[in-house]
Amino acid sequence: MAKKPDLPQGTLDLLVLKALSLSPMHGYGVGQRIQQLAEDMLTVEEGTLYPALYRIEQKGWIESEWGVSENNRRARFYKLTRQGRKQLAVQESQWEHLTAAVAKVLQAT
Amino acid sequence: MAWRKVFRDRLRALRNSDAVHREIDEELLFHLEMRTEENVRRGMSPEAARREAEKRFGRLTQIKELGYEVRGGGWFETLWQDLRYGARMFLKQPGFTLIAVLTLALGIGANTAIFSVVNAVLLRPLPFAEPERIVWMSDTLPQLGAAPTSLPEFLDWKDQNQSFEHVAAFLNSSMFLDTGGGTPDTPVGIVTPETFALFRVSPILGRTFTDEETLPGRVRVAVLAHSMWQNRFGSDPNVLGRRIDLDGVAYTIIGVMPEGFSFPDRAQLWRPLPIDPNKLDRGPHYLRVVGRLKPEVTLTQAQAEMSALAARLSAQHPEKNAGHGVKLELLRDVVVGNIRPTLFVLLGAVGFVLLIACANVANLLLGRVGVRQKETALRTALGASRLRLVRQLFTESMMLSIAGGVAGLLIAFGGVKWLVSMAPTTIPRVHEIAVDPGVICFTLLISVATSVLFGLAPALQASRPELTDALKEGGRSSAGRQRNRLRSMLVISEVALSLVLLIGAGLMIRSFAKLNQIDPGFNPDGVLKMGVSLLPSKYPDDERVASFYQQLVERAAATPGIVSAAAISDLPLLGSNTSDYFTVEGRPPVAKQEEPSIEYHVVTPRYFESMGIPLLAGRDIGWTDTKQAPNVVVINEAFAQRHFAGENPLGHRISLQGQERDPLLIVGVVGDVRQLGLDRMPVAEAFVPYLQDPLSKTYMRSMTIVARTKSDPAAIAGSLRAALTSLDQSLPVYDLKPMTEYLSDSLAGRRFNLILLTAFAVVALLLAAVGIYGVISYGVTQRTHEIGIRMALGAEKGDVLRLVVRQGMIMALCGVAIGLLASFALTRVMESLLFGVSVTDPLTFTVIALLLTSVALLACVLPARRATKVDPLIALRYE
Repeated sequence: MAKKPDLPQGTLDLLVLKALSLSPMHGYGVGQRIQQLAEDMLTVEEGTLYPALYRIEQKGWIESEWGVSENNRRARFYKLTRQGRKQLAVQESQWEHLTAAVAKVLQAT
Repeated sequence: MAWRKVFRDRLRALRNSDAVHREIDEELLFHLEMRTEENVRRGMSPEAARREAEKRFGRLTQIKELGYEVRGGGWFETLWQDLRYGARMFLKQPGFTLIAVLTLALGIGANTAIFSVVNAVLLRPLPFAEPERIVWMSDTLPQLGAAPTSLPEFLDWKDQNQSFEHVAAFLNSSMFLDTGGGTPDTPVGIVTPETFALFRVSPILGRTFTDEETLPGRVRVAVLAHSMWQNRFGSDPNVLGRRIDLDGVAYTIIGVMPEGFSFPDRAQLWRPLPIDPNKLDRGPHYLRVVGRLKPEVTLTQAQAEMSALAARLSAQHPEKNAGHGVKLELLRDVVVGNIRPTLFVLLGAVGFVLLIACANVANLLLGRVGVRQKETALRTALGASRLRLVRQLFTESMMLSIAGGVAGLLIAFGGVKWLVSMAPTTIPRVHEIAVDPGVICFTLLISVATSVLFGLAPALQASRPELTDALKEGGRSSAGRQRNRLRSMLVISEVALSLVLLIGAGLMIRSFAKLNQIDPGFNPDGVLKMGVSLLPSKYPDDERVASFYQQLVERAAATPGIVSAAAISDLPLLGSNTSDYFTVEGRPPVAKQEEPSIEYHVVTPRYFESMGIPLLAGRDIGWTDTKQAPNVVVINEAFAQRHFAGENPLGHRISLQGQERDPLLIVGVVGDVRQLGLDRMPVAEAFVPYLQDPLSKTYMRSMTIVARTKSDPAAIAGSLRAALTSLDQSLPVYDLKPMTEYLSDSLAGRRFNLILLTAFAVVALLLAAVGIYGVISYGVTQRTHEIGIRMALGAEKGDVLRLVVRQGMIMALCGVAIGLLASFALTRVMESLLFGVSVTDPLTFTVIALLLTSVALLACVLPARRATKVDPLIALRYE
């Protein structure tokens, strides 16, 4: 398995918010969905995913409740709150701004 | 599938039984299972699939811990977890727990008990409506200072002021209430009608007094206190109109006051103050006055107005009122004024005890930091944050202090009961002292504060992130050294604090000893005293009273076992009862304000002999000194020295102001007694024969009988009482006790302070000794290895002993030095509680410093001796 890049600090939060903006999902699904969306270019470690979920939940951007998974098991589903939706928009625009700026710097010769 | 069971088991082992933990476990387990299934789908063996899934999780515990904290119930769950953990640990170390809780309970209990006194006496508002507007009004006399006022002055104050809603006068009196089965002495408030309106209380039955009921012939009415109505009349709703017998005179009950109203203090019933408009004399000052300020008037404004009024009255009545002023004080300050410094000293003392208790428990906890270091290191390694550890340790401290608080509250309940039972009557509002919700809040508050005080340092120490050190070894790391320094500092402050307390107690003990050495001027040994009062209904005239007292004294003297007996109007130590101005015949007149005053007593013959007061010159009073014989007087030595220096007072005559009779011939001089109290110098006194006293009709129906016995006065008390009551069955006889007891009762207030302060100081001393002992013996345990090496290299037992003792004594001496400095600064707050010793009494300071040093030495030597018994071979292997 090729070495995949580490996520820059804080980026995981953005990815989690984005993944959950599509639909509520359990923790395992969040990890899977990020991996799929990144077309397997990223792997989210459980050791970072769950702390991120707990932290974001504490901030009030997402909330969780028990639901039933696709294979009929009890699973904890996370979903965006209204605040989380706003936060996603803010972070997305910040990210675009940042990457554009970084790209400009890197393109310099 | 087998691996699923493994997961479950493993998670079950990790998880706690509560819901939040279960949910987090379940969520993570779900994830693990999903991942494992996915891996199996990709072709891994079940075992490999599980391992891979687990590996991806990494630090499971940390994830879970973060989860607990974030999830809603996390705070309480953590608390619950810590509580259970703490409880388990405390139960595993019952010795440690017991000592810590007991120490805290002592500290908190003593504080709670003293605080309930402070709360009731100083903090709680007086039990009246808007008590902060009630003012105490005294007359200020040129030589005597603040004093009660005269009836006409009171009436002037009342009628001519603009500052007060109401002004009322009262007398705090006691009368004999005929209950049918005895005549107990009952506290009675003799009051003007405004009193009830002033305190804004209305009767629950009937009415209070009208102005007409103060006039002569109309005053035989009474208002009952609620307790009297309950206890004596069974809360009878038809009590109005019934009669009660006070001092042999019938009074008609016209009203009942609501529960809780009692002014003056302890009054059981009230009767009107007689005001005879035809007999208004500005001479006798006996009335207490209170006023309620109008809402917009301040105390300062009222004082200005009343001072102007007093100046006007002085000008109008120069013969009696010259130089008189008015002094206003808040009622509350008057009620609690004298006790305030005592209570603050006691509160300070228990505060010190609590600080010492905290230092001790902190020391105990610090001692355990080393023991727990491996545990904390492990927890840190498993991902617990420092905050988390501090929190856990704090929870444990809080548990200790709450347990200490609860036990302390129990101690306080007992303590308050004991305090109230032995509190001298000089403490005001004693019956209001109780452990009430306010006090319980205080206990809770100091318990929490206490846990911060003793828990902070150990918690910070224990959570220091020095994993490698800790896992390797306990004592010799830098953290260990720092901890030892901290413990030494705690011990030093304990020693210093207890030195201050001990010196405080020492000064009290010295004062008390000095007081007990003071010669009261009479010989109390073998003397009995008893109060006797004649009811005016039975003894209406002077002759009957006179002959009865003569019979009474003769009957007493004839009782077997009694050597001599006599009666006096007011015993020594009672304070100033009747003081009069006088002039010496043949001397140039002095200005009214500068006339000397004397204490005036009425005695029967053989009083001086019965009391053991020496007759220095002349003769005693005799039964022949009657109204028909020339007026005579016996004076004391202080009188003779002050007014007849270098002269023989015998043969001189003096005139007493306000007594319209022939001058009194001085026929005798007796030794001084301490009339105003053991702690006050003797004053000039005059003793007048009972049969010549012009005031006997109104004032001298109550006398104190003193009887000198051959042997044990207590054994004779019964037969003396029987001998007296055989003359009159209904004769009220009270306060029958040996004179030695009377003497020691006069020191009750001081004894109370002394016992409390000494008790606190002894507790402090014990705690400090335990503290030193604990630190030294811990140090010895830590240094076993080093001591072993020293001994292996040839150190003698004496060297080791010196080494260990020196370490302890350095701490003790530092503490003593700091404590001495602090005492120099602090003992001055006790000045008003001391007698005959300076607040920096060198003897007390030296003796107490030596005492504390010796106790410290003992506390060091015990563990040091253990150190000398160290076997080098074992010690070198010891870790």
